[in-house]
Amino acid sequence: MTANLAAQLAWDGRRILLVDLDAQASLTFSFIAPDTWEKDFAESKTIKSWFESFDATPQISLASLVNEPPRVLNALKGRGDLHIIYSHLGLINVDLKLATKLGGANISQAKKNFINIHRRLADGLAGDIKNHPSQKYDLVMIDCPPNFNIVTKTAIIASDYILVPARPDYLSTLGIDYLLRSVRGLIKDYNDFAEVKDGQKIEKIAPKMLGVVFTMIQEYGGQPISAQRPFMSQVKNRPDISVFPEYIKRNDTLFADAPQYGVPVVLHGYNSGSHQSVVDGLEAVSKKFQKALGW
Amino acid sequence: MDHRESLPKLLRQMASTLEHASPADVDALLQGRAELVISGRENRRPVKSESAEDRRASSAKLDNLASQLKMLTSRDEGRNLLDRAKLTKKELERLARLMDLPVLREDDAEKLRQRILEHSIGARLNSQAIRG
Repeated sequence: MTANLAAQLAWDGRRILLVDLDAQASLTFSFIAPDTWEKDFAESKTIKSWFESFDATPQISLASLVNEPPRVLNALKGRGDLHIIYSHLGLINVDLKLATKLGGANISQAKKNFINIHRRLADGLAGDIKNHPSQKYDLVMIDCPPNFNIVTKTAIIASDYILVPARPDYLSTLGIDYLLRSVRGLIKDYNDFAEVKDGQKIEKIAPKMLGVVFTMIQEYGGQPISAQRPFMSQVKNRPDISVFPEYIKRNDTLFADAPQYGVPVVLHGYNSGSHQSVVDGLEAVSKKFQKALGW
Repeated sequence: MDHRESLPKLLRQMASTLEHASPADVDALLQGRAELVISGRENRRPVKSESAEDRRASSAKLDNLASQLKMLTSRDEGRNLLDRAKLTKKELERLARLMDLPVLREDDAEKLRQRILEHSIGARLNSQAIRG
């Protein structure tokens, strides 16, 4: 979903930066082939290198990791920009290293370490990306893994908004509740600890939950199939989360091999009815997303 | 016989049948792993039709049940409510459809009861438990 939403926004003329924080690197491999990644990026040009460089001199700049995938550049035909900072298959090891840096000799030190570790991405984006003269992005989209590790927490703390893609099935909808619980706990801990860093008040965080976007929707008779509708309505009925009425349709013919060619489905030039229907759904999600951002 | 005049009616019947097919059956048909067949119904028992008045009364009862289930806070209360209502399998199917739940050909009355309870009560309890 992230690749297609970003591509649609770029097609609409926006300047978008993607940051892939998932060690599985699915977003990364939606734009470049794994062998290209291994040859040109894996060693020193991924988000893993950046996290690791906190312990090294000189520290890597986030801006130096930004790549413009060439096949997307061609497909966008100059309409907007879609740049990306790639992930690394070993990113999970970063999490283990960050975990060892938490804690401290006393509560005050532990709180300070908590803030320092968890603010890394927020500070990196604010310093390296926001102030970079040639990289004025309209939006930075951080793609997170479906778990709540420390790297994911750095993304939540760096974010103004959270968008939750979910499949309408039993376990996925339980996952939405798990995410809400985890985000709520993180915000509370962070804001409690933010009071004490170096005796100075750190700005509190309040990322806004934009809502749930249902993906992999199978349609029958112009609506989601009956096996998916109950789970969609159960989430819609929950009082404190909004659900996008628009959704992303499942179409294995289109989506199964699209990442292999490095261009999101929404930028493909097909003319078939089924392709148009999928693209219409993606466009509708994108419009709703932009509206939710106040664009 | 000229089939062209019967075609719209046939297509409507097919659409009506497919509307109640399971997602797995629909997938199998779409992917060519299954096919639609015509079978005789000479050996089937005639179905007693329900009067319009009975149907209205039953619909009101099911609407009321669906509303009550949404207000309950435990699966046991829901099960007691369904038990007291003494619904036939047909009525359970109608209640499930009223709640926009899938009804599979293989579902027995107990499976339908469970699906209705999980959708109307269980989902809320699960959500609350995980959110803490």
